[in-house]
Amino acid sequence: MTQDDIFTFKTKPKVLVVDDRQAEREILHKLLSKLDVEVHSVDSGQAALHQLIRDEYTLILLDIKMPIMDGIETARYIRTNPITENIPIIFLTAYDQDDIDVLQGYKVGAIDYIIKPINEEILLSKVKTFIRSNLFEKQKEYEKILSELKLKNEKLKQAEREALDRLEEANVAKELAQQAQRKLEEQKGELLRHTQNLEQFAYVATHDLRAPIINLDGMVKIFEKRGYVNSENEEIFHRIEHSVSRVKNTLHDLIEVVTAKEALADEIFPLSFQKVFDETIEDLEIQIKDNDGQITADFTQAPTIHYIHRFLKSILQNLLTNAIKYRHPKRRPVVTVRTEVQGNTVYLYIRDNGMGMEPHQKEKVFGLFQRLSSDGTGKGMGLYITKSQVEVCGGNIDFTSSPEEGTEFVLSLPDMKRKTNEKK
Amino acid sequence: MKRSKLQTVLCIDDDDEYNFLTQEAFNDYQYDGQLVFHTSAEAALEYLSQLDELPNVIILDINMPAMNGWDFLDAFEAKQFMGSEQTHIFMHSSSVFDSDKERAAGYKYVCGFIDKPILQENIEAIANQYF
Repeated sequence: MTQDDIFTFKTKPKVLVVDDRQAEREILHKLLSKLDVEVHSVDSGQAALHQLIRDEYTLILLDIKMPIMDGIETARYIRTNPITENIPIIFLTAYDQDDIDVLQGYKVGAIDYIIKPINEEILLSKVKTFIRSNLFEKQKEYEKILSELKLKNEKLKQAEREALDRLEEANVAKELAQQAQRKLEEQKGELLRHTQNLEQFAYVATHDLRAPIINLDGMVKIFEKRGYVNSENEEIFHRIEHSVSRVKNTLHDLIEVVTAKEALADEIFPLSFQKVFDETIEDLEIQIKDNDGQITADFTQAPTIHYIHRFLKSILQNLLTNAIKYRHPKRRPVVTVRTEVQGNTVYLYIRDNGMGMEPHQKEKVFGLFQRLSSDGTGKGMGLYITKSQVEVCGGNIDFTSSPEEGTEFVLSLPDMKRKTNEKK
Repeated sequence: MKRSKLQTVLCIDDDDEYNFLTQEAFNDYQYDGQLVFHTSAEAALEYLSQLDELPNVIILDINMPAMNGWDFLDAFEAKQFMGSEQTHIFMHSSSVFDSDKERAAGYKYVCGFIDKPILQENIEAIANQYF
């Protein structure tokens, strides 16, 4: 149903008068003008068929006696067209028994007849009846439209409700997302607090542990320096001294672990590998001598790097210590150190002829508190620290090893040359 | 035997055992000047306010209960002691955190930072550099 249909309903009902005689047409016009209808008239059956296609009529007044195509034939055509088949027809006829017999053969309701001369009262009453019944039809149609409209409104409302529901759902989803976001923020904050607590803990632990250990270490030294050690207490004194030194070293390593987590930009300086290597060898002198070790270095391929001194020294110290510590029991330790450069990265190779490792030990090597051999001494933090110190500066550490043959560590160390702050 | 113009030293540290080690380091150095210990910053401030002349050197522990080393520095600056520019303050700690050293550098009267334990060499270095 469209707007036009509703509009059509509101217009006056149209009545088509079909008669070949003008006088008759004028009379009918005049009589029908008393009703609230619009009257069109044509002078032949053919003209009627044309007109019926052009306009929509509520009622047809059809004269039977017409030349060429009479009313009966015209009606037959009207009835065969689906557009016009349901329009009621009132035939106009002079009293003729044959005609009346034919007319009575038509279906009742859709058809009627008026005998000429036309009686005004009968004509108007019949026309009114048909118009009214048509109006009733129209009304029903209107109600149908209304109920359809109502249904459509209902559907629209339903759609609106659904849209509101969707909106509500969207709001709920948004709220959930916001809740999740808030939770994430909370967790972030909590994580930050944990990290801060951990830092605080590390600070307190290192200070509060370090202070008494410094005291203990100092007292032990003074005790010895003052000559209080004698044959009676010598053994127990050295056990105390050894224990203190163990705690001191463990704490030192713990501090390295904690401080390796941060690399400060203003700690980066151009470093000579040879110089840092020489310092390290000096520190390890006794260890090397005791094991009859031979350590050689070749830094000609990459003599310098921008790096953090304490890290580079610690890296060399740990790896060289390990090379000596995990020596092969049947041969003299021989260690070679060399560097290579590729683009912005310096590769540091440290190769030994030590006892080597089984392949399955590989992943354990860099773990915290991981010592691979009961022969070795130490706390097993060395390689963990080394890995932290390499990785915090964007580098990488790996090794290849075969049991009984030796190990080669390969470190990639990105040159940390500062790009900014090149002021004079 | 006077080895330098370093004549008066004040050590502020709540750790008595540690003060024993400091004393020993000064003994090793064969220090013959005045070495005074205070185990709280409050007591040290009280002591300083009664002096006519401030010590040449103050060795100041950072981590102390109640008033810590930083609090002492703030109070010291606020009191505007006579001749305080002649006093050399050295922060002293077993702290391993660089943030403490950076913070120490921000104070006017602070000349340096000595990691614990203090050794004869540290005292020699101070005496040679400043006196």
